[in-house]
Amino acid sequence: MRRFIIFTFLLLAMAANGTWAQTNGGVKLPEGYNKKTYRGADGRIYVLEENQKVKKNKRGKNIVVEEEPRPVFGGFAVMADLVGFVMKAAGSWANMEVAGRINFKEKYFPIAELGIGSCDRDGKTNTNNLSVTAPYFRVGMDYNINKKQNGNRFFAGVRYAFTSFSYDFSNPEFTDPLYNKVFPLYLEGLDGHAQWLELVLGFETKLWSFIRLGGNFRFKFRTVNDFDFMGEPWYVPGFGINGSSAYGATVNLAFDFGKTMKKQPPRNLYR
Amino acid sequence: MMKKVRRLIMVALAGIVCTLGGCDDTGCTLYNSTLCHISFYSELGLATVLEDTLTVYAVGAETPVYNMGVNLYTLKVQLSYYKDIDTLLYEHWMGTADEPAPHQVDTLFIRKSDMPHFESPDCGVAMFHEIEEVWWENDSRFPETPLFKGVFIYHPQVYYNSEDNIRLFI
Repeated sequence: MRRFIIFTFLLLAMAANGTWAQTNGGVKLPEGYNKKTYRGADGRIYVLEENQKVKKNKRGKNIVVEEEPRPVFGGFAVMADLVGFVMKAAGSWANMEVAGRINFKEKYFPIAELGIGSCDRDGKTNTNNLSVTAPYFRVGMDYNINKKQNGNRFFAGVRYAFTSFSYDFSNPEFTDPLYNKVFPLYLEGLDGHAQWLELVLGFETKLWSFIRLGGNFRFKFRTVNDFDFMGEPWYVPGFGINGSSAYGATVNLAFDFGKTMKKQPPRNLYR
Repeated sequence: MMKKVRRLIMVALAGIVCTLGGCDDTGCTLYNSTLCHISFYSELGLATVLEDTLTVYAVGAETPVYNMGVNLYTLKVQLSYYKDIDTLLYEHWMGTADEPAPHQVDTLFIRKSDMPHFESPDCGVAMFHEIEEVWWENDSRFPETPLFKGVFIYHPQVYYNSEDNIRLFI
């Protein structure tokens, strides 16, 4: 009886003092102590490290798995867009680009993209021709929303892009309707400038060793559009067909150098 | 699971390639030419109607720019693409088949600058004009009844618009 009174008194004193005010997983911890705990199969309480998590195994039992710590600098990658080269061969316009990317903690991927936009487009029912070839630049950031370290990455990102370019327009059969006389029209070196923002959703998977294949969809909305009074360019390098907004996509072959995240097999660290 | 994810990614990549080869929009303007709007006004400054038959010729052109119009408020006239000054002959005829009358010809001069304008390779190319000066000459054979009594530039830019460019006082 005396022992029970002393024990109760001590409990009340500690509770009043706030020593065990915080609980975690059913275990009372000192205030300010924010690490998670796990009750092992032996009934003991274990404190989990930051890279340790409790998961259920196939039998439905709780086990503790340890993930490989993510380095702050996880390497870098160089990439090339395969779609641009295909479009250049098959169509009238294409954005051909390469990119460099840095990996921070397998989460944050600052990226810079450099490309050449090219367009040589004839009118479908007339003799018009628009010609543009100019570089464009993009900088931005991707965020890997895949928390699992299984070799796949799912990106959400933004880009700021800009380009300055010259474009040519011609119509060798430009005819004065009043006098029915042909005056060939050649407008060369018209100046254009554009800036736009891009919202990016992408994915990437590991093909072999440091080689990765990925792709992304982009929604682009134009913020600056300067052009010559004689006519707005039908195509803007890097942006695509000119308008207030545009869609785009790339298929990237990437060479990813640095520490590669490998899938960690689950194992029970604390039984 | 991994195989499924990779298969999904490959299908999405194929989708991207197909999407990029997709539709193409011409987006041409509905207007296909730029015409100079010349309206008739009375000496009081009110819009008025030229009732009798009017035909307008451009000097040097093979066909009239406006043919045999009656009850006209406004003329929409094609300007030349490369001449500094367009000379328009307004042939006014007040006769009838039973009562023939001489043709009175007053002349309108339009000094302008020209600027080509395009939108897309698939659209037609237009010529914009900036009217700098207008003046007129009456037919010396009819000093008592001149057709033109005054003229001024109301809206000098001849673009894709429907506003009056020139107002003629008759």
